[in-house]
Amino acid sequence: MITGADAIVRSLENEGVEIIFGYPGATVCPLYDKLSKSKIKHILVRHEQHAGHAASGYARIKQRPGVCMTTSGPGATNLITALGTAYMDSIPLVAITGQVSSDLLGRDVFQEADITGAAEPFTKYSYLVKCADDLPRIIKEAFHIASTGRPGPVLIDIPVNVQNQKLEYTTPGEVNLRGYKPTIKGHAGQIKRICKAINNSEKPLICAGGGIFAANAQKELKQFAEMINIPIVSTMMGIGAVPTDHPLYAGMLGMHGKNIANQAISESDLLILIGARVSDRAVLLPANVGNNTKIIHIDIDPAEIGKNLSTFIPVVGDANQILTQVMSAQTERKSDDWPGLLRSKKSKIKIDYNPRKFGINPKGFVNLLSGMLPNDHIYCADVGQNQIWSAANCQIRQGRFLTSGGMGTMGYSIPAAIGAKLADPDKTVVAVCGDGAFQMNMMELGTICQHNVDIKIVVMKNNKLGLVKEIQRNSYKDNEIAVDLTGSPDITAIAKAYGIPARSIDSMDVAEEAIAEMIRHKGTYLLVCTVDENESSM
Amino acid sequence: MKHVLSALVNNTPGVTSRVSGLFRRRGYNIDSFIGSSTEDERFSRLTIVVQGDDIVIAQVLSQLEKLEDIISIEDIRPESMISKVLLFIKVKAEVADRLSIIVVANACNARVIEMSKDYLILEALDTEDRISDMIEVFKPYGIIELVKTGVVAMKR
Ligand SMILES: Cc1ncc(C[n+]2csc(CCOP(=O)(O)OP(=O)(O)O)c2C)c(N)n1
Repeated sequence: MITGADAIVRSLENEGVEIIFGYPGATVCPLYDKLSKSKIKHILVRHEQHAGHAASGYARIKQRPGVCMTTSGPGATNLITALGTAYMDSIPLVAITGQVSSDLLGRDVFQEADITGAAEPFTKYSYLVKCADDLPRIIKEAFHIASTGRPGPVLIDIPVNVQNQKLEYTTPGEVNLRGYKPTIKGHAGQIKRICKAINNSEKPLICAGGGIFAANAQKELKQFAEMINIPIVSTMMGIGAVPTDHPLYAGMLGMHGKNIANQAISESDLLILIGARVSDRAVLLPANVGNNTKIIHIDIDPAEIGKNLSTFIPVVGDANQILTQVMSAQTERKSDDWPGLLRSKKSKIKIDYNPRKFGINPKGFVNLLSGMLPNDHIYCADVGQNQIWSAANCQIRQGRFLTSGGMGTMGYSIPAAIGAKLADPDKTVVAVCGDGAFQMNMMELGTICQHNVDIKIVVMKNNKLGLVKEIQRNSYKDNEIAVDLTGSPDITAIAKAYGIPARSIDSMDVAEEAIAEMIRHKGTYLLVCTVDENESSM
Repeated sequence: MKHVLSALVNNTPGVTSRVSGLFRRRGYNIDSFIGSSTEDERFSRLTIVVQGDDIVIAQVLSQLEKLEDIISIEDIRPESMISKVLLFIKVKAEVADRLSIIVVANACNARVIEMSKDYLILEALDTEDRISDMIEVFKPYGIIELVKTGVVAMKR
C-alpha cells in the first residue's frame, strides 16, 4: 500500500512530467513531502498566477501539458487568471490544487475555496478527488483531456486527507471516455470539396491561427502553401506559423495588423482558416471579409466553426492531418499573379526606424532585437502597446512568438519566458513587456535567480499604462485618468538588487550595441528602453 | 439517507447551476433534478433527490434558503408527500418472450407503447421503489435502453 501523495507523484512520473511550477501550503504538504523524493524538479515561483503562466510557456514549447500546483483557498484562487489565460489560448495544463479535508468540504473552514466551481468557466475539465483509489485513473485522464482535441487546462482538486489515504497502486489502462472522442481525421468528402474550391478560386488565402502550433503543423502548413502557391496571413496567436520573412507570408491581420493582410482578406475569394477563432480582434468586422469570399474553416473544435464567420466548407479535425490529406489529394498549383501582387506590396513596406525626439523607437527596436537574436529564438510579448509593437514588427524566423492572445493578461511574458526556457534550455528566450506589466510580475526575478534561468528581459518604459492612455486620448477626449505610473522604482536598480545586470537606454543610437551586449551576456539580463508616452501603437 | 427537496425558485437563467453548485461543493452526487414551470410563470419548481448525511443536508438547505433566487425550499418527508417517476424501457422481445413480457407488464401496471419485431417499449408511472423493482423484473429479458424522469413530488 502507498499513500495518495505517493500515487500522485508516481502517476506524474508515468506521464513523463519533468518539471512542476508551484507554491506550497498546508493542504499540499503531503504531496510536497513525497515530491521531494522524486526526480521531478519543482520550480518555486513567487506568485501562484505565475506558476500557471510558466506552465503555459513550458507547454507551448514542450508540446505537452505544463504542470502547476498550489495550495487550497488563496493559492487556488490566485491560479484562476492563469487558468483563464490558458483556456482562452487553448494551452494544455494540468493544475493540481490542495483542498481541505473531504469531510470538511462546504463548511467554509480555513482556506477552503470551491475551486472546481470557481474555475469551471476557465477549465476544459475538472476533478474533485474523493477517494485515493481514483487518483491514478484521474491523473491519466487529466493529461489525456488536456492534450488531445482542442487542448486546455484541466484542474485536479485533491483534499489533504485523500493525499494521506492508503491505496493499492495499479497502473491505469488506456483512457476511454465515452463522451470524449475528438475527431482527428478530416472527412474525405470535405477534403475533396476543399480541393475543388481551391482549384476554382483565383485568390485563395490561408489564415493561420494558434491551432497550427497545437497540431504541430508548421511544417505541413509551409509545404501546403508552397505546393499550391497560396499566400498566408496569421492571427496574433498564429505569428510564426510560417517564418515572418517567408515570401508567401503577408503579415498579421486584424485591428492591430498589417494593412496588406487586411486588404488581402477583403480581396480574396477563398479564405482558408486553419486553427483560428477569428475573434473580434482578428477580423475587425466580419464585413471586412469580402462579400464574395468563400470560407473554408478547419478546426479541431466543431464549436468554433461558424461561431464568428459563416462557413462554406467546415472541416473538423487536426490541422496536421487535414493538411496532409489535402496535399495527397490532387490540387493544381496556382499562378503567381495573386501571391506576386501581395509580395510586391509587402516589399514596399518599410519598418518604421525613424529616430524619435525623445526615447527609442519601439517599432524599429523590436524589429532590430528579433533580427539580432538567433533565428530560433522564443519571443514572449506581454500585453499593451508593447504587444502591438512586437506583434507587428518582430521577425519570427524559426522560433516562436508567445503571448496571451485571447485573454490579454498583463504579466504573462516573464513567467511564460521562464517556462519556455526550462522547456528548451538551448533556445534564447526574450520577454518584452511594459513598465506596468513588469510591476505585475517583477517578483519572478527571484525565481529566475533561484533556479538559474537564463532569459533576456526588455522593459519598454513610458511611465504610463500606455495602451489605456492611448484609448483615453483617442476616445475620451484625452481625459487621462489612472494611467500614470509615477512612483515606479528605478527598474535597473530592482534588477541589480537581484544581482541581474541591467542597463537603460533612451536612444536608438545605442540600441544595436545594447542589444548585442544583452545577447552576449551569459545569464539573465534586463534592458530598460525609454519610450515616449505619446508613441502610438500602430 | 435519501432526501427529496422541493424548491420554488425564480424562473431566471443560472438558478439551476447555483442550486446544484452547493451540492457539488460538498462533493455530493445528485440522484435526480427536475425543473419545470408552475402555475405562476415567474417561478419554477425544482425537485431534487439527493443522498446524504441528515445534518449536512439541513445545512445545505439553509444555505440554499439564503440564495436570492430561492423563494422557498423544503425537505419533504416521505409520509407527507405523493411522488411519482415516469419510466420508458426498451426490452428485447424475441417472439417466444413477447407474451410473457406483456403479462408481466400488465401485472406491473406498465403499458406497451411501441412494438417492433425485436423489442417492446413500455411506459410506467409509479413510485420510485416500484419502478426500481420493475426494472429488476425486466432485466432477464434484456434491457436495451431505459430512461426515467427524476422524482416529482407534491406535499399532501
Ligand atoms: C491583468 C490586466 N489588467 C488590466 C489590463 C488592461 N490593460 C491593457 S493594456 C494596459 C496597459 C499596459 O501598460 P504597460 O504594461 O505599461 O504597457 P504599455 O501599454 O505601456 O506598453 C492595461 C492596464 C490587462 N490587459 N490585464
